[in-house]
Amino acid sequence: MLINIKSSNSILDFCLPYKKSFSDLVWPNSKIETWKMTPLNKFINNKNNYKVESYYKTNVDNKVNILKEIDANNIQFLKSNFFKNSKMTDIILSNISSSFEVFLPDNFSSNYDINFSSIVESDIWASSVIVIKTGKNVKANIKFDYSLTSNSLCTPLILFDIDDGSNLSFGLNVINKDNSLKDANFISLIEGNINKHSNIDMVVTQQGVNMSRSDINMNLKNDFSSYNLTGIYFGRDKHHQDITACVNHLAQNTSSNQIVRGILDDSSVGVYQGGIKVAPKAQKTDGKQMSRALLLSKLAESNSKPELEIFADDVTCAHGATIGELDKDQFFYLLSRGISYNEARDILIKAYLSEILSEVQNEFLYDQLDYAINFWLDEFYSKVAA
Amino acid sequence: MNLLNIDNLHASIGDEKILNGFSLKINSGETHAIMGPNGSGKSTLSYVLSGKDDYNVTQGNILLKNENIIELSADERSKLGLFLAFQYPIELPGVTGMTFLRTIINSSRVAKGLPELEGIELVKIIREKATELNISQDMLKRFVNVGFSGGEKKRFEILQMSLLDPSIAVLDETDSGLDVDALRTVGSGVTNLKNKDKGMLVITHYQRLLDHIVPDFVHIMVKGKILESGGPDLAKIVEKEGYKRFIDAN
Repeated sequence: MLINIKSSNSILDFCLPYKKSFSDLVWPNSKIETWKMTPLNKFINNKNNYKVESYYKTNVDNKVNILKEIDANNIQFLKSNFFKNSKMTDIILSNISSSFEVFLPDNFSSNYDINFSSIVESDIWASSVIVIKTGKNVKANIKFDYSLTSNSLCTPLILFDIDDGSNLSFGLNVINKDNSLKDANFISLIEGNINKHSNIDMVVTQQGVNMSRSDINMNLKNDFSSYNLTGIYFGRDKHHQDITACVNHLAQNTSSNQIVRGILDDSSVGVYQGGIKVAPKAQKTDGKQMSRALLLSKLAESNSKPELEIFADDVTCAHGATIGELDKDQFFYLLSRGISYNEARDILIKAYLSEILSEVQNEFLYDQLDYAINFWLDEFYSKVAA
Repeated sequence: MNLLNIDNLHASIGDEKILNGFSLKINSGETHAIMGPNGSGKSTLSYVLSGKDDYNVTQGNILLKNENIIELSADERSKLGLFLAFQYPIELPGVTGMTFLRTIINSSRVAKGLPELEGIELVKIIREKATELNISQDMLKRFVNVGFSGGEKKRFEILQMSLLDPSIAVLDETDSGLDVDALRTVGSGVTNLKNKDKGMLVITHYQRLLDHIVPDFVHIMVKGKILESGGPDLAKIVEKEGYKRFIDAN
């Protein structure tokens, strides 16, 4: 069913100072370090005449009252925690078309997966603010699926506030059934606070749009909090795919693991920017980040920038990034067993993708990755067959 | 019947000439061993035979069952009945042993004009052969060669050989990285696969493998060609005296 929660006066008042017409917006350009590899001014044309509009569908029966408007109390909290001076935040707030809060009270444990989906039609800019807030000891699965159309723009800002002892599995998927999109751009900002003994397991999958960036910034705010990200992007044609993910370890005994994989065909470009920041008091931190990109074409390009910033002395941190083509020796091994070139290539691509599946134990998240992988493989094989 | 006829083979990698007029004939039922010092071109020979891209054949022919395979790709050579057991088997992360074996069996069956096998029948065949080679079911669930010990890798090679049932099997230093017990298992696994229709080419540094896979002919290879051929006793001379006398004599 459609969510029919209107943006509250509180958030509309809050956004008023940011209000600007589309043609007056200044998009992040390559002079800004974190946007150097994805300068939005190259992808988004201010001459576009978008209508600002968005809607979400959900399977949530709101008799349980978990969907709310973003009220004044929340605005105060958001101001102090999230709405920092960032060009992209300003842009999203300049024209929000929907906003709501998903509130999961103390001890909430859903017996079903909470799903949201949004289809952005042609000539539409869908700009939304979504707050996901939990009480203590919550256990829930939440998924957002986005689908775009030619000449559309989607910019969700998703904020988490996870109270003590809660476990959230969260998925964000950008996927398209239309093969020939033009000027379909997706930029999400995802930020959050994770409190004591709480955890978020997150999956992000991106494919099918001309430009897609997920910009994730999570704070492990209290002791024994943890966060795991499994991200995967698929590029074809001249698509540009970016996953930028930073985790801030702000307390003791916190852990994070960020794994991002890309697969790039044709003239597509992939970007991974990863960060692990460890504050001086965040002793006993365990942080890992690993990215890999597989290039299937000589014209495909991948840019990786994993970074560590550590101010505590008792930590375990690891990072790595690799970019490569299908392995020649693996190819030869398969061929030497009588497997044809095309079949060997398919086996190696599937193997590369299935490795990331083996990292995810959570069924809810596994299914999303599996769906995204199979969706891409189907497209890939139909292209090869043609 | 002549299975493999290598005639005056010259091959190089980049500007470096490695095979310099290598010739050898293998008939069905015969096991040939090639011994030679480091750098004599033994592994190159195995790669050139199986069709690895990096090597450039500049002269000569390779006839497999009377068909010239020089221009054939590695998969086509395999389908014609050539098998290479790798000295260093390649890891395939993300590909489980069982999936891999099912794929190669069916590729081979299609090449032979046989119908593909499905599910239970295929698994049954694989499990039977695996048990013979002391390969556990658990190993078949793991990614191919990932985290395998030296012995497991070599046994997995021989399992593939057993399932593909090639006409000519080339075993490239199958003894390397094996302890005495593993060597015995692999040796008897290979010996069990010998029959009157099959030919084998065993490449090794040492006599010890030939205690387990007894050859009909032994050839000494130096600088990319065979310098001397003989019976199994030739391997024992090498074991005692090394390769120096062959190199000096030529």
